[in-house]
Amino acid sequence: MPGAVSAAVVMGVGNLLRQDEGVGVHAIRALADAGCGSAVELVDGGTAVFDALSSWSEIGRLVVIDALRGAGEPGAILRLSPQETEDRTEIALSLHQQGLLDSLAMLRHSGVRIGEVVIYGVEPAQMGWGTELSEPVARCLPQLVAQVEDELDISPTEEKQR
Amino acid sequence: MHKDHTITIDPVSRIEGHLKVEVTVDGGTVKEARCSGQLFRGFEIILLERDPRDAPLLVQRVCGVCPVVHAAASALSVDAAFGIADQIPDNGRVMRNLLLASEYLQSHILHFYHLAALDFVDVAAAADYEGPDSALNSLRDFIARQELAPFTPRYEGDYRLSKKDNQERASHYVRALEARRVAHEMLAVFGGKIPHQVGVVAGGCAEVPTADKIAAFLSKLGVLRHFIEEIYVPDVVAIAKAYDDYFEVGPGPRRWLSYGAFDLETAETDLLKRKRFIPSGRVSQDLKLRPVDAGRIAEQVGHSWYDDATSGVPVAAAKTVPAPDKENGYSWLKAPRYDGQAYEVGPLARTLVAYAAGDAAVRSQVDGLLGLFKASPAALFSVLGRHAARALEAKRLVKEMAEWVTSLRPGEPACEWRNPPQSGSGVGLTEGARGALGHWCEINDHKLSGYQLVVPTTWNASPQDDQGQPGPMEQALVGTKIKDMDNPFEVVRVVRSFDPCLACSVHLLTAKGQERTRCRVL
Repeated sequence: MPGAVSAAVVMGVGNLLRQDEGVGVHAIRALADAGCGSAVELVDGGTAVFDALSSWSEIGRLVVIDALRGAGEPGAILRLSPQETEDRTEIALSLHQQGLLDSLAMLRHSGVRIGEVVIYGVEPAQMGWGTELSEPVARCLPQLVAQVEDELDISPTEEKQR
Repeated sequence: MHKDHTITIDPVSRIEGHLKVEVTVDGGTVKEARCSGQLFRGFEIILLERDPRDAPLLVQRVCGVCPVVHAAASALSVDAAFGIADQIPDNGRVMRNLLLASEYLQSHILHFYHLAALDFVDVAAAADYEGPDSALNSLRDFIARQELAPFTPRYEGDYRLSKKDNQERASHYVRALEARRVAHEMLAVFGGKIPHQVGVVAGGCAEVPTADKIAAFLSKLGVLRHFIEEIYVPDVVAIAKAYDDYFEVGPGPRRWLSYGAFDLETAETDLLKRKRFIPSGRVSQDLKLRPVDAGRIAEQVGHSWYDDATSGVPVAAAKTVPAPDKENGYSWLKAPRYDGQAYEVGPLARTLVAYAAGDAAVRSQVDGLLGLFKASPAALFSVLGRHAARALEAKRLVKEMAEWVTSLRPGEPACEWRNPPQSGSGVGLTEGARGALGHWCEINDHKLSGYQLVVPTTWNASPQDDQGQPGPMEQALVGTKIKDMDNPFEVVRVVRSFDPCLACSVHLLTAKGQERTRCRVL
């Protein structure tokens, strides 16, 4: 049973119930609201990174959005490669670092071809119980959306205006 | 030579909260074990003041491996609070069963191949594979490039399979990834999406079955059935043969509890009396069936970081008052107890309860397995008993699901849609892949005014209670012999057999807390 083939996939991961921990999922919704869903595949990975991607057989470029400790001030956005999360031990992808890297390896073992992987990390401010983002993290979403659009060279806003 | 050592497994888990396991070893035998963890306390804050129909959708976000069962338990509790527990259309009841059963299949396969089997199978045997198996060739190439994730770091030593058998199981590791994908595709057929499906709702299911969907589900089910019958079950038997001493390791409290799961009717509103594919009940080592009365379940906090005044209160009236500085506390998990006793929950509990209830399919499976190993039922109270119970349960379910899906009636309603009542309360009791799950909800002014969960890992990984009685996993660890302190396979094999669903790091400490070695446990 061959899986889907996509040139670009953006996956937000995190727990929606832990405020800023869920910033990846909030970002996916913001990208969808910005009209990016027609240009790239947007995936709400929730807390199941591997499962969210296992229906693909080939992904050209993968952008992962997650909470990231070590990105800077709350709401700061850091772009990095998977290797950098491994090398830079002072940085911890909230709760998902190991899950993300292991999941990518497992996907490759199972024959899923994944090209370049880029991670966008957002420094969390609050990770308590709640479905709302903290103010500084919520404020960074438009910039995050713009950066991801640049990354993948998509400009859905023009399309929207037409 | 009586040097005490402490082995600590201290995890970072993205899936089910944090769990730390610490065992004290004296003369090569575990003398004492402590499980400590953090759970979704405070979770109810999110649900309060919301429309009760939000609960099934929101609660499943607590876990990426077992979202469906949280939605299912939540929906059962909201059904009861709405007073419609006996009005769920058959289509809705059956689709809930299919969604939950699909989750069991992917979860059991994940647990065995991707978490537990690596304690028994030497994946490194793929390094010099020569042959046509594409999975093994891929693994060999990864190993050649030193890309060892997610297989390292790991313990070294006690791998007992032949090279050929190791290679075959390593190949199955990869095939199991594909099997899980198919299980998730099945979930998406009636759940709309995965992870975090949107099919299970208060009143039934949001989807209306069509002939196309039934056919799609059936064809995927065939793939899973082949994998489970031809690969998963034989692999468990093969590992059991090579490690048959593990039929005597990790018995635990020898008391098991199941709420029962997979409704076969909805006329009976008491879920514990409802006719279910997996029956409810309690057993001890005499394998005599005893009923479950949810009113006898209470959480004790004698060794948990909560106010002692809240200990032992029945769940529906329970309060959560943190006391992080409590001197004799060592866990954020409370200790659920039934009539004050620790009970193991999960596939082994369900299997033993069904066996005691006289379930013909379970009896035939279990007796067949015991015959194969010339063993008595006591052999089931063990690490291997838990793995075998999980695999045999998957085999029963995948067969039954074909009956369920063909009983769906295309185009007919699947949900009893209702607006929230002014007030009400409900209990949702069912079984997730890892064991007994209960959700308790309360409605006031059409909104949620209270919500409580007692989840499987709280039962199994609970700390000591008010009387100092250790939790099931703690009891299973005590008495375990550790051959090699630097590679304590035995500890992780016991812990894994409960399927606690965590990624963690293991620290080996001396009695004075000096770290010896550190390994990660996948």
